[in-house]
Amino acid sequence: MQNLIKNGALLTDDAWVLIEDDSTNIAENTAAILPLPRYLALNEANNLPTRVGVWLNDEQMADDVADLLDKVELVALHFPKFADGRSFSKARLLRDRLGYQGEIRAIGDFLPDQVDYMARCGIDAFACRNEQEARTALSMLDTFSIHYQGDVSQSALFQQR
Amino acid sequence: MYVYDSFDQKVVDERVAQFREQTERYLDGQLADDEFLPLRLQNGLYIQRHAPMLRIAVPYGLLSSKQLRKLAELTETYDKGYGHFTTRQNVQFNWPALEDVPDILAGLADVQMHAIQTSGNCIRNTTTDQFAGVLRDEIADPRPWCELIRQWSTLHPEFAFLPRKFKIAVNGSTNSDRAAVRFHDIGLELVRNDAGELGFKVFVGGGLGRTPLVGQEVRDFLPGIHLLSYLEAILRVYNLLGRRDNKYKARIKILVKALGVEAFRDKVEAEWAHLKDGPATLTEAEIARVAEHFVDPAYENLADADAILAQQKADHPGFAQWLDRNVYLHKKPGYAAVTLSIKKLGYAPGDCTADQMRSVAHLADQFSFGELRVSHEQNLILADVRQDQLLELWEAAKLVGFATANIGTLTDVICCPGGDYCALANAKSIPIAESIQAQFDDLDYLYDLGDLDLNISGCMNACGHHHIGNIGILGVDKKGEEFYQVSLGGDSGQNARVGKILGPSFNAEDIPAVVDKVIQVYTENRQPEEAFVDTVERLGLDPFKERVYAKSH
Ligand code: SF4
Repeated sequence: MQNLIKNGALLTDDAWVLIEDDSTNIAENTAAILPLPRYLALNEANNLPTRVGVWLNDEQMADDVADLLDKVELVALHFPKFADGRSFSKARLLRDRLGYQGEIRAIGDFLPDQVDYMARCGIDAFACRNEQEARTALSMLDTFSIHYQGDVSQSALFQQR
Repeated sequence: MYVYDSFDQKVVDERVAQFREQTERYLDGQLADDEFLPLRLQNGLYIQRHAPMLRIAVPYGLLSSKQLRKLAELTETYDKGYGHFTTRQNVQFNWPALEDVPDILAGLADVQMHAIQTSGNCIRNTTTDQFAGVLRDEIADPRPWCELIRQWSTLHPEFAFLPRKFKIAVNGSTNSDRAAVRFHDIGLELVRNDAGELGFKVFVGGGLGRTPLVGQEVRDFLPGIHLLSYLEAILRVYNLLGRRDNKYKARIKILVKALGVEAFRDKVEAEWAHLKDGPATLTEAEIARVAEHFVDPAYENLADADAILAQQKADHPGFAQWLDRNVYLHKKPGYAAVTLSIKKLGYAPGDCTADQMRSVAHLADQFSFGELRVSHEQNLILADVRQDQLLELWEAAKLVGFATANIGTLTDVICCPGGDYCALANAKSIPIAESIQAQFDDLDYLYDLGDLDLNISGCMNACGHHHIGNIGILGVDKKGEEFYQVSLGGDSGQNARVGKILGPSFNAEDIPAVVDKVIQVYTENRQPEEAFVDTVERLGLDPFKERVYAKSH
């Protein structure tokens, strides 16, 4: 994918390919991020690509992938529009509840201004809409040095006061 | 009141820097209108009919005189020299220029204020009783809990893009509910359990707007230390399951109604089972740290000044009326809480000029430890006034025009900005308030009518809380013309009730006469000491309908 921010840097050589739907062809040796139903079908047929991730649409919940988290390198959360905040909670559930350690990637329609909150919820890779936004996003990753609430990597401020 | 430490200050300072950068990017064309929208909204900035509108947070209605003076200065520098106190205890500037907003926010940060999350689909300013901390019948002071909620909800990373706005209110009084907790997304009522421990009764799913609903109890006792983890559980369930396909069905009340309160509660409890005792669990040390900021001011040891007041009342009949309507009992002997009426005929309820702000700030310094509160009735409160200084305060307040002795009466109208200012309005609301105030200008008659809330909203969004006015007036649009629907019997308090619509709507000119007829039915039928809302409850709507809609002969 293009315009990807990962580990606090802009990546130019990301190997992952987003498979949009069931009909998209998967070339051999592709690191493929599959829609959940496609993942389940290929898994059933014992035909998964060697490097595999799965993406959730807005209606699919963290629990829907609970059983396959130890088999996927990456879970992508799709933002249908930036105002749809469900994926913030899904990311937290993936990290805090289900203990997922792999990559959680934001895909779809989100704003650079949201990556700070996303990172605090456990999203650690961001497929931005274009290069300019990726650069802006990079600069906005640590907008706030103080956080009142606990998050996936820090305890609440009141525990430090 | 709560005083920022270096952490709190840093949060608001960094927020100002962030918004300055966002505004620059927008003016530069790098951010589209619809993308800037949620970002500016989360900083309180709307684009209204005439200009942007900036809503500034007044956390749970508490202000220092220094902050009020700063508001006066900012509105003179960047606006038209007045502000507007809202029904949610906040303050609005109606005409700032977009380019100036970062500087306004920086000015606010200088006095420990901000506009964070005063609009947008996020957790809004938490509200409470304007007499919090000085009430005789209080279980505990709600303000430390409001501040804990303020800090927890400020820039919460998970809940900034909810399906819709989210409002929390806290009440600590046993006998009254001035915070209207049953009409909030979450209402918290301070209670003690049998073991004497402090906690909350939790209501969810109340609200006004298009679908007015009374909140339902989801928990009868939540220990204080679990407050934040429980709020997280509710918010998470809502964030994941609340409707996002239709903004009129997106509030949590619709989710609670659709699932039924039992199923909703089960989901919250299931989520909370994971969060309970987790990292969001408050410590006694943190509760104590915040509560420290709300300890009593340096009260003198006084006795109630009954004899002096009796004499002063005899000498000054106007003062007697003012004591009766505008002065409230205080927990500390020798003190009283005073409501300054800032509503004036010909001005929007809640409007306050920079000069008036400075006058109130001065009165607060002189009489009430330099602090004041904003009430949801859009008045200002001095909460800690010595009883033996009440006469002096009354005289001073009269000079600046804040001593109208009408608090809680029919002319102490709650009213939204309406069609004169608001882009969403169906009809004007301020002229309606004025016509009623002009019709009922006889104070003795008003006193005789007693407690009576009249609330006016210019559209279904119900910013004027018309559903819970004893008399509610709603602006409606009929084929491009402004009409008004009248409802009776709403109650925001412990007997939470949504008013019932009287019948077909009226022209603006007819409203004073309609209200007059409603009042006549009340005065003819009331029992001794019976308040208006109780008479409506006892009689039902029929006698009111008959009078109001009778054909004239
Ligand atoms: S009730 Fe309607 S008209 Fe009045 S302020 Fe709210 S949105 Fe505007």
